[in-house]
Parts: sequence; C-alpha cells; structure tokens
Amino acid sequence: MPPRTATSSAPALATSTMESHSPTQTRKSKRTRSEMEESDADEGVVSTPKGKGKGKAPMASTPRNDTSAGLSSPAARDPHEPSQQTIHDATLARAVVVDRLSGRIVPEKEELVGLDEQYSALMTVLEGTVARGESNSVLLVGERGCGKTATLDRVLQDLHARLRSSPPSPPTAASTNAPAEHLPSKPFLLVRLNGRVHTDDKLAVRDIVRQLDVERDMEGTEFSSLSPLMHHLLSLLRLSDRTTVPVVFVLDELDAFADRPGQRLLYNLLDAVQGEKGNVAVVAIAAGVDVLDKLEKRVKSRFSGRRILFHPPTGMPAFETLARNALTVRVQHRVSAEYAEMYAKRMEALLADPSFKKTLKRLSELSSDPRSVLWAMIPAAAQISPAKPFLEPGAFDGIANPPDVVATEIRCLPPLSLVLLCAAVRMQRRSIPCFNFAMCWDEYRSLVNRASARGSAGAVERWKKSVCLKAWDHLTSREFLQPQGGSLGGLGGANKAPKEHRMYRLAVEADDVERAAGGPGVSADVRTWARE
Amino acid sequence: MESQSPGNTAQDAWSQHVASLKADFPGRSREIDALSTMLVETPYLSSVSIRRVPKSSSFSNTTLERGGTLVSVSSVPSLFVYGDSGTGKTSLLRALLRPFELEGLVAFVNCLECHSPRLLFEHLIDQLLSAGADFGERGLAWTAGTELDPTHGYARSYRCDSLVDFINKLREFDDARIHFGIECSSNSEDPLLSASMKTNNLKRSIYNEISGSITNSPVSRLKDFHFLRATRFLVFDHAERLRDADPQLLAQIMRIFELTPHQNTATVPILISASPPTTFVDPLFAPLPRVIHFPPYPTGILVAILRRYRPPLDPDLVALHDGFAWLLIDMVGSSTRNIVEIVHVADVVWRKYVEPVTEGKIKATDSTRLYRNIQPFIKDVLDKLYLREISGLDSSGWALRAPGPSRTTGLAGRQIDIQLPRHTKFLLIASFLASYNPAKYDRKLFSKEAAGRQEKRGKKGLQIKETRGKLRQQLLGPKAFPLERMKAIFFIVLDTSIEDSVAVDTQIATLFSLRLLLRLTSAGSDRLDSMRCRCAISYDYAQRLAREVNFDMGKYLIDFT
Repeated sequence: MPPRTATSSAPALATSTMESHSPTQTRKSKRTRSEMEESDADEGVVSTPKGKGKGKAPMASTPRNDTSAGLSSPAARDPHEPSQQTIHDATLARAVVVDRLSGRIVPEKEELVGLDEQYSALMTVLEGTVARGESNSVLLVGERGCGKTATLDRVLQDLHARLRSSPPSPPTAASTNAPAEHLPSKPFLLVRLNGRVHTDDKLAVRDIVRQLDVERDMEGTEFSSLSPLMHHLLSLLRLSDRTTVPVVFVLDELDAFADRPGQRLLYNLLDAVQGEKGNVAVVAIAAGVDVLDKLEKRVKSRFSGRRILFHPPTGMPAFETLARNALTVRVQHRVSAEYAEMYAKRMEALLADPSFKKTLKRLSELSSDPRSVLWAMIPAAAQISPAKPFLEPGAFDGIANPPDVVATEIRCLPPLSLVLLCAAVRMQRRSIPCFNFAMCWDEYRSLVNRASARGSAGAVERWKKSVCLKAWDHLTSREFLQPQGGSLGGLGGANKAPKEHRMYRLAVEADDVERAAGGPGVSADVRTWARE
Repeated sequence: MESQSPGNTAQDAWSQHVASLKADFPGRSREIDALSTMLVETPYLSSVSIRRVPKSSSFSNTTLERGGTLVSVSSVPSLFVYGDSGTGKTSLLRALLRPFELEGLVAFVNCLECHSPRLLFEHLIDQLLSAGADFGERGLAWTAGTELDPTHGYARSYRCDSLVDFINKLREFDDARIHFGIECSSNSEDPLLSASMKTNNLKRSIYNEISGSITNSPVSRLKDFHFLRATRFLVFDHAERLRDADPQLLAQIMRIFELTPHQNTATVPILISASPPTTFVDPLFAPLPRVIHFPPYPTGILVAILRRYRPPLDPDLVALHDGFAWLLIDMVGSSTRNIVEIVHVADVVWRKYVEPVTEGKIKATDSTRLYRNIQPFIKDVLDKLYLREISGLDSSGWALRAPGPSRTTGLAGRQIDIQLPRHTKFLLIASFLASYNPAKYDRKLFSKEAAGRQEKRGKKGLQIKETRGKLRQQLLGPKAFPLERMKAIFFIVLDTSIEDSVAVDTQIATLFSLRLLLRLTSAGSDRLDSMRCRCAISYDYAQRLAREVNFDMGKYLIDFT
C-alpha cells in the first residue's frame, strides 16, 4: 500500500503536528474509505512517537506493515462482511479502553488532565539533563494515583522520541564511554528504582548495574561485595560529562529510601548529581509531603530542592474529563470510521446519562485518587464485546457500590454458624467487646432453653458443643471473628488458652448479622435473638 | 493467507472452553462469566507457540498453519477471588486458565506451602519455565538451571529471593519468548515480517522497537504481537498467609502489574482467599482489586454436585440417590454447607442407606421405610463423621446402632482413658480450683476457721460477687496460678494427710508431661516451686474426677452453672 510506505519515511518532525490535529480528525462526521486509510497510516506515526529515528526507518516500518497481515486481514476490512468488522472494532476498542484504564499504556499528553504545568516543568528539567548536559534533581510530590508516574513516563517517552528524531547538539556518538553502535537506539539511559521493591541498598545497586549494563559492559570485573561495586558505579557516574550518555535515575517511593538507615544510596546518587559537569538527573517520586524533612541534612543539602506538586482533580468537571479521556476510542486506534463515529455518539450519551454522572460523582467522592476511579470502571469497560460493541450505561451502574460480599457470605451461612454469630452480636450489645466460645455457647444454650420453655422447642436445633466448636472454628478461619491478644486472650504458642476460651472480637457488622437473621428460612427465634 | 479472522476463531475456541466449564462446574456460570470477562477480555490465537516441539521440526509453515495457540490479552491490574473453602475457587481458576498454561503464562502457588519469598518466587518461575523450557534450536542457557539436577543435590542453579530478582527473571523470560517468537515469525509466510526480522542487529533492536511501539499502541493488528502481549497470570492461593507473613511482600505482589510496565507481557496477580477482601487493604498501596465472589452453593447445586460424586450405580438406584442427597443435605446443611464435608459424610452414609436395598430387605421405592431404617442413629453418626471421630472408611463406628448417653465432650474427650492415681486426681482438682477461682477468695473458701466462725459474712461476700453474667470465671477460662497456691489448696481439699511431698512433685511433673497442667514459665530458669501454671482440663472432666474421688467440688467453685 503506497501511502503507508510514504508516511513511514516521512520526517518525524511531522509527528507533533499530526498529534495536535488528531482530535479534530475524529470529529469529522463522514469519511470515505480512502480517507480512513490515510488517517490509519497517519496514526502509525502518532501512536509510535518514539520509533521514528532516521537510522531506524526499516525497523520503524515493521509494526505498521504487519498490520495489514495481522488481525484485520483484508477480509476484515471488506465492507461486505460487517460482522467481521464489528468483531475487529469491538476487540480493538475494548483493548484500547481497558489498557488505558488500567494504566498498561502510558497516557497521551492530552489525557493527563490538569497536569500541563507539571508536564512542562518536568520536561524542562529533564531536557536540561538530556539535551544540554546539566545535572539535576527534582522531586515529584503528590497523592497516590494522581499521575506522577504517568506524567514522568509521558515526558520520558516524548523526550525519547524527540531526541531520536533530532540528535542533541553535542553528538552522543562522540562519547568515549559507550560503544558507538548502541547509541542511536538510546539517547539517554534510564534507571528505575522503587523503594518498596529494592528493599535494601544491595538489591538497588545490583539492579542499577543491571539496568546500566545494557550499554556499559561491566562483566569483566567481578565484584565480591557491595561496596566496591558501589564505588565503581559512582566513579562511572562522576566520570560522566557532556559527552557521555545522559542517565536518568527514577527513585519511586522515596519515603522508603529515606527510611533506610544512613540513606547511603540517596546520598551517593545525589552527590554524583551535584558535580558541575555530569549529566545525571535524579527524579524522586514521593507521596508524602513531609518526605524532605525525612532526609538527613547532608542528603538534603545535595538535593536541588526543586519540587513539582501534583494535585488530584477536584470537582465533577475534572472527573468528567478524566472519564471522557479514558473512554475515548478514535479512528487513530484503527477502528473503522463508522464504528468510531457510533462509539463517540454512544459515549457522549453515556457521559450525559444521569445515572452515569451519579456513579461518577459517587466514585469521586469515595476517592479523589483518579486511578482508583479509573480502575473501578475496568469491569464495565471490559464488557465491550462483538455482541455489545459499545459502552452501555447499564454496565456502569453498580461499579460505585460494589456488592458487600461479606454480607452475602453471612446471609448464606448455615443456621448453626448464624446462631453463633447472633450470640456474638448479643455479647457485643451487652458491652462485652471481647468474648470467647464458652460465653457464646452459654448464651446459645440459655436462649434455646428459654425458647423451649416458651414452647417453641424444636424451632432451633440443639447442636452438640463439639459441633458448635467446629462451626466456631470455621467462623474464626473466615475472619468473621478477629482473635484478640492481651491478658485474656493469653499467650501464643503451646501455652495458648484452650480453644474455647480464646478471646475474639466481632469483625463483621452487627447489622449484617441482624439482616441475615431476618432472611427467609431462618426461624423466628433466631430473628428475635439477633434483634434484641 | 487466512481464511478466517483469527480473532473470531479464538473467540469461538474460548466460548467453547467456557461452555464446557459451565457444564463441569454446576452453579458457577455467573462466576465463570465474570472471570472470563475480566481475565480473558481478548483471546487471541497466536500463530507462535512456545510449546515443546520435536527438535527435528524447525517450525515449518505447517506448524504455524496448525492454528496456533490461545493466548489472552487482558489488562486487569489485579483480581481477588473471595469465597469459602470448598466453593471451587482454585479448581475453577485452574480449569479456566488451563489453555494458557502450556504457553508458560499461568503459575499457581499455594501460600500455605510456599511460606518464604524464595520458595514463592522460585515455585512460580519453575512453573512458568516448565512450559517454556525449550525455546527452539537456540535454547536458553538460563532455563537449563531450573531443572532439579540430582548431581547438584536437587538445587536450582538460580536463586530468586526478592521481587527484584523475580521481575528480572520475568523480563528474561519475556525476552526469550520474544526471541523465540521472532524466530518463528521469520519462518512464516508473511514476507514483510520475515524480511524485516532477518535484517541486521535483529534481536535487541526489535525488542526495543516492540517494547516501545507495542506498549504504546495496544492495537497492533499483527497477530504475532498478541503472542508477545499475552497476559501472564500468577495465582496466589491462600493469600491470607501472604498477608500475615509479610504485608510488604503482599503489597509488592498486588502491585506487580504496575511494577512490570516495561515488558510486553502484562503480569496479573490473582489472590484467592477465604478471608474478607477488606482485610487485605493497605492504605499505602494500590486500590483494592476487583473482587470476584464465589458465594456458597445453594441446596439445589449441592445436590447436583453430590450427584456428580456418586459412585457408579444401577439405573434403578439413581433416583434413590437423588432422594438421599436431598435428605442428607437437609440434615447436615444446618451445621455445614461445605461441599467437602458433605461429600465426606455422604460417601459413608449412602453405603448404609442403600444396604437394605442391596440385601433385598426393603424395596428401593420405599423411601419412607429406608428413612425409618436409618433414622435412629443417623444424627449421632452424622455428628461423629462431621467431627471426624469415626473415620469414613472404618465401618466399626456403625456398630453403635443405639448410641448410649452422649459421652464427655469438648476438651476432655481424649482424656477419658487416662487412668490417674487418686492423689493425682486431687492435684488436678486443686489446679482446676486454682485456675478458676480468684485468689482473693481463697481465704474464705479454704481457711478452716473462717468457714466455722464467719460463715455468714463469708457467704454474703461471695454472693455479691456471683454475677451469673457472661464474664464469670467459668466462661473466661483458666488463669495462671503459682504452683505454691495450687499445692496449698491440694493439701486442704485432700481428705487424707500426706507426708511425702516429693511424691507430689513427681505427680506434678507427670501432669506436665501429660499436658493436663501447662507450665507457663520457662522450664530451665525456675525451680518447680515458684513456677506459674495453668490447668488444661475442662469443667466436665474436673467434675468427673471429683465424682470419682467423692469430692464435692461445687461448694468451692464461684459462679459456676
């Protein structure tokens, strides 16, 4: 197909302009087949922004050429087979939407709602390091899930794409440290560390070496222990100047790094950054606002102090934009024009739907964390299928209040367990928050006796104590009852209190038990016990 | 090239699989649908497989044309499967994900078995690799180490005890898959693909290209890219163990989807647990995963499952078995709805139930008489079977056709046969009194002159404290006491005098070794005299002992009923 080959070798500078035009293209209502194919080809450039170096032209053409041979074989595009087309479109749309909701793909710049400032600030810092050889450090602070990592990933990818298309002014090929043939593929090196994953400095340093090892061969040298390795690494970093490949360190969960005694890794990395000539950037990410106070003085003084604050979106309009961005499927995603048009219409209908708005409002009230709002929408979006190719408002109805599974479990409990739980609830009502099996058994026995004295004997079974104890065991293993330590619960190990005297606390809602006892098939006696 | 769209074929293959599952798991179609939507959003037929193939065939076109293998491309960040034990969580997931297992995309791990990170991760890797151990001609040095080699003392040649190692291992695995996929594709008919694959600096750059472009555009229509983008499922059974052992590790595992973003293959953790999902919340970490709930089976489904478990029967007994299943669940269902328990009980009781029919005493249609035949002792036997007091295989328990009065239950059940000397019995009684009576009443209860002179005042004092409430000593359980106090009580309650206190100490040591008396302070540091102990016998057993030695224990107990 001639248009494809043409675009693939088109100058990659066109990428950015294409990107900015893309939204308007979607809004075109009617398109001919040839127009669609062209935009499809354009899309290849847009969707793979970083793969367009001149030296890589044959490689870059690969994914797109394959498309013609892949899932949508020419048959799938044949207008005479609409069902094939629908299957194709729906499958693609679902993949696009769910991937975006789950964060499997890095969001596009326009999908980062309200983060433009942060994006450009971060871009400036990293550009300084990567393109102009300035060492720097920056801290991204903000609540969990509000887009710190997403923005960083976007910046890194954009930077990557930009540098590949136009090599930075000091030609990296002049570098002496790295073999030249690797350079075109990587304008900068990226080392990602996560404080919760790299749980000690040894793991972290080893992983730094591994991540750098792609370019720098350190295999010849054997390091028996950590400190010579660290030393070697740092000397490499200190050697770096404008002629070497820039390195970007990403330290996710800075809090965890800061909690380590000595903060050795932080100190050394930031110390390497401080040098005048190197081109190393350290991007730290933290959720806690007070993380800077945790840093030791010597570490803090080496940190540039530059902070970029991230705020979760507030207010319904922001969340509506968020939802709209996340659910959009465009022609650029290689669905057919007709489908994209229909999809857009249905999506607008969904967004305008009052029940969807209510759901969204509730989600945003539950958590201002955009990620959890997006994650909550995954099950609904995953329901797009060839049979139901569009977003259905009904699918979103329950997502804001997922069913209370524990309440359901309690409702389905066998009568014996329910009676025991009722006894436990009665304990709690009598201001005995901690109780054991013996008390509940006593309570159960007196209730049964009372019932049989009133003449309603037989309504509630008389279970043996040992059978009850087994049911009690079951309740504790399901964690409906939470074991309590302390003076009454007794010591652990072999000297624990006997099973029937171990203390527990009710871990489910008393209301749930009462409601379960009020359900069908439960004897009137039990219902009364649960209520009293 | 292709007669059919592969997406369509895959969808068909998958719906067939799902339909057969629904037949195999009665009453679980809602859960199967939910899991299938979440986990297998997009089944694809990949033309490339990493399945073991004979070395001789070098992935010719015929291999590719065989239809390929099913992979799932799904992007659910994590999943939580909640439900009681015996509701089919694990077996259903295993069956559902079986098609992907061959591709090295599914690993199950039981957190009960694998209690340390190293065991856990290495177990997972072994499973992933056992499917993909043979990546074609090139082979991979790193997979060689996974086979447990006797010459190395059955140790693995790699070591993986942290999440970093695990993620890196997964990355290597993905690299290997990609190399292999490319190798296969380069033999494919597709001229464009194979041409580009065969060009210079092949592997690394292609990998970079793929990881860049594919993670950006999930919608590539190259089907072999679906092979690369396939989702890997890590299933953690008994995940509550993981939570209790190391919350940090659990948090890492729950975020594994985010922590492996730069690989083509998404990694989805699935936690299976009977503990409520809310107990897994870690405020520091990711939002709570999507919960798939396996509710307990309703009675009708339990009967259907029992029907699946029934032994091979004559056709005329089938109806009888159905009726029996309803009857049994009616009787057992009030105390348990666990299918494992019910199957255990049903197995034995059915043999007894059907016995008169096979012997020709009662006709199979006469269910009333059959019921009456079994009714007198079924309740007792059911309890015994349920409590595992008699084994299902051991039919001697059935000799108890007319069970006697119920025997001592509870903790004393097993102590019944221990014959103790008379003084030892008194020692036990004394320790029971010491355990349950607050020390402040000792004077009133046991001092001889107090009993005579101040009976009135003493009685009054005791009555005030008789709460009859739920916090009385009997229910709160045994307390620790110093051994000295117990000995003092022992000498008071004993009706005869005793000279040899050494013998008493020996008896106490015996009680320790029988674990009727528990030592609470460590053995080495203390002398026998000053240690603290606790009595471990039940009230019933203490009463029995008291009766045996003609001791009126009741008047020394406060607040007992």
